[in-house]
Amino acid sequence: MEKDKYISLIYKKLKGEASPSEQSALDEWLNISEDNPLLFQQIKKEWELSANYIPNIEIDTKADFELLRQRVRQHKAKEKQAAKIVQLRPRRQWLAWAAAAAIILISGWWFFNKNNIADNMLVAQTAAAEKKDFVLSDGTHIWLNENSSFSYPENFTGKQRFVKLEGEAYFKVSKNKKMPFVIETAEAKIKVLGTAFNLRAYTDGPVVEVAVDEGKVQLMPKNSKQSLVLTLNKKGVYDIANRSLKEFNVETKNASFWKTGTLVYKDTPLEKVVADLENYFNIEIKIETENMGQCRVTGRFPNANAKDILEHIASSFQMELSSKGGRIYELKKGACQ
Amino acid sequence: MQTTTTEEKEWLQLLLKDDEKALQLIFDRYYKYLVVTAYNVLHDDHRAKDLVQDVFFDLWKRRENLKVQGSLKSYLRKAVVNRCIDETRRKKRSGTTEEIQDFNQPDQHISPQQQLETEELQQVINRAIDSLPGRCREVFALSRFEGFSHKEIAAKLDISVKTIENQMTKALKIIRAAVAGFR
Repeated sequence: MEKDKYISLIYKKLKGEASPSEQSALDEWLNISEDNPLLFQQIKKEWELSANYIPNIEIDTKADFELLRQRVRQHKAKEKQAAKIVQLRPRRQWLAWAAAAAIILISGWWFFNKNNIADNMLVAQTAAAEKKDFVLSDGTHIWLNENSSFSYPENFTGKQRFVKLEGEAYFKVSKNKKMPFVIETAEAKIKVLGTAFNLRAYTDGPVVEVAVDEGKVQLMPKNSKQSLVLTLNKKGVYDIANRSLKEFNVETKNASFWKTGTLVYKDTPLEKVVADLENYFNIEIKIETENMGQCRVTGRFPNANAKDILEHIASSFQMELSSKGGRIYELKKGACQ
Repeated sequence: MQTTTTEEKEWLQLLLKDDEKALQLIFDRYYKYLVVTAYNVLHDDHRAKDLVQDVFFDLWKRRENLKVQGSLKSYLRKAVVNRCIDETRRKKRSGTTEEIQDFNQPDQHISPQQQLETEELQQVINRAIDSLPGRCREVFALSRFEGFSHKEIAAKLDISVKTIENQMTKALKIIRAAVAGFR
């Protein structure tokens, strides 16, 4: 209880609301023992750091603005309607029947078409080294990686939100339990209700890979009766050649590195880091010294580029780094600490 | 009090002409900041986002009758905080708040390891703040992040200054224990 009293005084001091008598009581307490100023410093540091508090939430400004835009437009449409004041007179009965028949005919035609074609779809494409991000009419936010193609309708109708992907994209699907979001790729279908995940499905790639950041995702390969339901921090990999479907834990968000630009490693073997760098930056890295591949790498690399990371690795393990034409790197000598 | 910036004045003018682009510019600039502000008090990201959506929708609906004194940013912030307080009063739930300036980039000079360590300490503190029980978190947010004085908090939440001091002491003790456990 005694200590609480002083924590309360320390707080008031930091907050700037200590009275003169409280101030002198605090000063006196600080002089009593050597531990007291230490406690004061610790609490002061924590108080300062607490100002940097960032809640662990994801905020998608682009998608959320889309929701606001639609709300504004709906409101405008309503205002317009209200302004028109059109008087609807009762019509003759047979007209109503005719209208009903027309609706049935139109919807029949629509069902027929819906199942056969997708040629009302819009297409977004990216070339090599190009990325795009855009928001669909339902508020779903898509980040499209290079060499990819994504087809989607201008507006979603029917029981599903149906889209197609060739290549790689990160999805932040807006929630709509009544209308699942279905992505078709050459080899698989992915069904979700509302979630965020990375999907890698290049047509020339060996696998279809889904890494989930949020919510639930169902991965359904076309040539397999199996399917996987993936949740937070799980990754599903479908090997096209073997038709095998496996689930893994996702240790980091490095799978969506191409979108975030940040790589994070914690006690990761060097050989794994090197394999990642080769994959993400399309380079070759040779480790000359045996066993160095087992050294553990820890670090967070925002705006990561291969050269900086390799330089960091070389200096932490006393290795020598050399490069040939910027595409091939060699790491020599060194020792795990 | 901060004054309306030239940029903000232009936005408000365009908004008056029902320019959707102006709404988007304001949204892009302040949305994150406002959601974090709301989250800190409410401690629920869906409610925080909904609430901020409502504030923006209101801004647009009332574009012809807006009376922005001071900066648009503080106007929006005040609108968000007031709604949050209304909501916590109604639901008797709670949370914390924060300055967007703190989203700054990490110092370039510190090594990736140091960065990870500082980040871990920061995360321990963040988690401790996340774990503060309802009213405690709410008081902490208003005191630490909104910078309200004890008198102001007492008036807003209709509680005594003594209660505020007790809640703040409790919060600092929880943070202290979390950091001590981490080291």
